[in-house]
Amino acid sequence: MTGSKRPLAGRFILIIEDEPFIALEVQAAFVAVGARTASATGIRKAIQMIGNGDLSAAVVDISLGSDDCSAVCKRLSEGAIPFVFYTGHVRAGVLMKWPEAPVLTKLADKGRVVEVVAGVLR
Amino acid sequence: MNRLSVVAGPRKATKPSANNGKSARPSADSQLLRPLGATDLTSALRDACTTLSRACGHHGSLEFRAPIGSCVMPSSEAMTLVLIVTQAVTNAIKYSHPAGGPGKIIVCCCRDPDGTIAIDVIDDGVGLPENFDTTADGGSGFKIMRALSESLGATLGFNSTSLGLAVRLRVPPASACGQDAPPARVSLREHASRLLASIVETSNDAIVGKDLNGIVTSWNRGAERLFGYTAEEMIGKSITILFPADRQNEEAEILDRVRRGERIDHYETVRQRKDGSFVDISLSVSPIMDAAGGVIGASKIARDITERKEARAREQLLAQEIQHRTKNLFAVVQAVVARSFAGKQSVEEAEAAVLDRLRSLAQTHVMLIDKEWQGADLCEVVRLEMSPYADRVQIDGPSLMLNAKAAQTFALAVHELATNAAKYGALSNANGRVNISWSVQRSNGSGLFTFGWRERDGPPVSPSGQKGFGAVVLEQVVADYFEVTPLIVFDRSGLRYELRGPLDALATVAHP
Repeated sequence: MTGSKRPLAGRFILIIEDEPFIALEVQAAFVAVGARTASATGIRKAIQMIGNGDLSAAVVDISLGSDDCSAVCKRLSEGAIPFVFYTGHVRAGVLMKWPEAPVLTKLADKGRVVEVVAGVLR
Repeated sequence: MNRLSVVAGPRKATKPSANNGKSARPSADSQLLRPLGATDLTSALRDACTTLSRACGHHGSLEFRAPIGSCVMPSSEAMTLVLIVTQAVTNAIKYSHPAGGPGKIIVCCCRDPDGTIAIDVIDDGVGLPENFDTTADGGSGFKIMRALSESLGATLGFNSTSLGLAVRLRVPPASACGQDAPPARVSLREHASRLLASIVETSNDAIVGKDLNGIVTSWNRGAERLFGYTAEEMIGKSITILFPADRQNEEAEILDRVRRGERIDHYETVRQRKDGSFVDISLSVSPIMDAAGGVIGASKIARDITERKEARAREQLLAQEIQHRTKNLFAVVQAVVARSFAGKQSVEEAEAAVLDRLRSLAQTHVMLIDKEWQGADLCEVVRLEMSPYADRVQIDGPSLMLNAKAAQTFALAVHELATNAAKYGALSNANGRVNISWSVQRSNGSGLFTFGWRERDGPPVSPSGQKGFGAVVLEQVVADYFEVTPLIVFDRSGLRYELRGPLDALATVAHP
C-alpha cells in the first residue's frame, strides 16, 4: 500500500458481488482507506450504477447467480473504468476476454483486494 | 464355479508345453482362439465333470457317462463343447432345485449311427419356467450357449418336463470326427473367426469396420442398437453419416492416425443417431492390417457413455455447489464475528451474540439440508426463529416457498429482529407483543411481496446509532439481496420493519 493511511480517499469503488456478506466485508475494507463504495448483487443493478458515472474502479465477481459477468465487464471497458476480478469460480473464457484485469481468489485477504485495486488506479 | 478354470483343463492335458510358463492364468480368449491341435472330447468332458462335481457340493451329484469311447477333434471345438456343457451344468446347479435339496445331474456323451455327437445334460429339477422361450430368453448363460452352439454349427435343444430339464446338444458329423481322424472340414482358423464373429455380433458395444476412405464394411447389432441404423443401411456408406455437423473434420484426423498404424483409445466424442438425437460415446479405433502388415482399414468400438457423463456432470455441479455454500457460509461467519465485536458492548456480550447468531445459522442450515437445499417455507423459517417467544408472537401469512439463499437471509433478518426485541423492544418487558405478517399479491404473472414486523406495548425505542451486525443485516444485506430498501420506523408503540418488493427476488430467482 502507499504511505498514506487513506490511499483511496475520494475514490468511488463499485463491488459487484452476488453474496451480500462478501460485498459487505470488501466494502468495509475500502471504506477503511477512505473510499466511497456501493454494491450490486446482479447484472441489472451493476449496469445501472456504471451508467450513473462517477466510478473510479470496480471489483467484479465472475459468477453472479446464474449469470456471468461478461456484460458488466464490457460496460466497464467501454467506460474505461479499471476493474479487478474477485472470484470463486475461475472461468477461463471470461478471464481471457479481459487479460489486463488482475484476478484474486475469493476469501483472499481484503487488504490485498484494496492493494490490487489501488494498483490499477495508479 | 468359474467357467474358465474348467475349460483350462483339457488344454493342460493335451498340450502341457503350450503355456511356456509365460502366463499363469490363460485368458478365455487365448484358450478359445488359438488353434492348439487335437483333443479327445470324452476325456476333456470327463475332466470338466470331475471339476464341476466338486462345485456341486451339497447341491447333489454329477455323473458323467460316455459310451462313445474316445473322440478326437480340433481342440478349439472340443473346448467350445466343454464350455457349453459347463454352462448347462452351472445352470442346473443354480436353478434346477430352487428350494434347495440334493439333485442329480447326468452328462452323457454318445455318437449316433450317422456320426452326430450327442451330448445331453439332464437334471431332475423343476424344469424351465412356463412360457420360457429358449431361443430368446435367459441370461448371459443362455446367450453364451446359443452363440457357441451356432459357431460350431451344432443344434441346441431343451426338453423341459416336470421331471427335469434335458439340454441336448447335437454336433453334426462334419465337425465331429472319428477316432484319431485328422481335424475336420472346418479349419481351425475358420472356426476361430466364426467364434470371433459371434462374439462381435452379440457384444453390447457398437463394433464397426471401415476402410481407409471411411466406408463402413461391417456393422454389428450393438451398432444397430446404439445408432439406430441397420447393417444394410450402413454397409457401403460413409461413417461420417454419424458425425454431427460440427465434428465432420474428426474423421480426417482419425483416418490419418489409422493410416499411420496408430490406435486411438477411449476418445470421448459425440455422434448423431438415425433419429437425430446425440449420444456421448467413448471411441477406440484400431487399424486393421492385411497379411503383409499393410493398413487396410480400421475397427472401431463405441460405447454409450451418456450415463457416465451425466453422473460426472452431477458430481461437478455438486462440488461447485458445496464450494459455493462453504464460501458463502464462511463469509457470513466472518461478518458475524467482525461485526459482533465492532460495537461498544463488552467482550462477554459480543461473545454471547456471536454464539447466538451461529446457533441460528446452524439451525437454518439444518432445515435447508433436510430439504436438500431446495428452499424452505417462509412460515417455517419464521416459526423456527420465533419459537422461544411463541406465546407473545402472532404469525400471519400464506405458505411461501423461498429459495435457499432467500430463506437464509430471512432467517438472519428475523433472528436479528427477535434478538433486538428481546434486548430493547417489545420482548424485553412483561407484556409486549410482536405481530409478523406477510402477503403476496399476484397480477399478470408478477407478484408483489409485503412483509411486516410490528412491535406493540414495548418500552420506547430509538435508533442505537452504532452499526452492529443486526443493523447491517436488516439494512444492507436485505436491501442488497432483495434489491429493495426496507422501511425501519421507530414508532411510539414499538419498532416497525417493512419490506415491499417483487416476489421473484425471493421465491423463484435461483441464486445457486
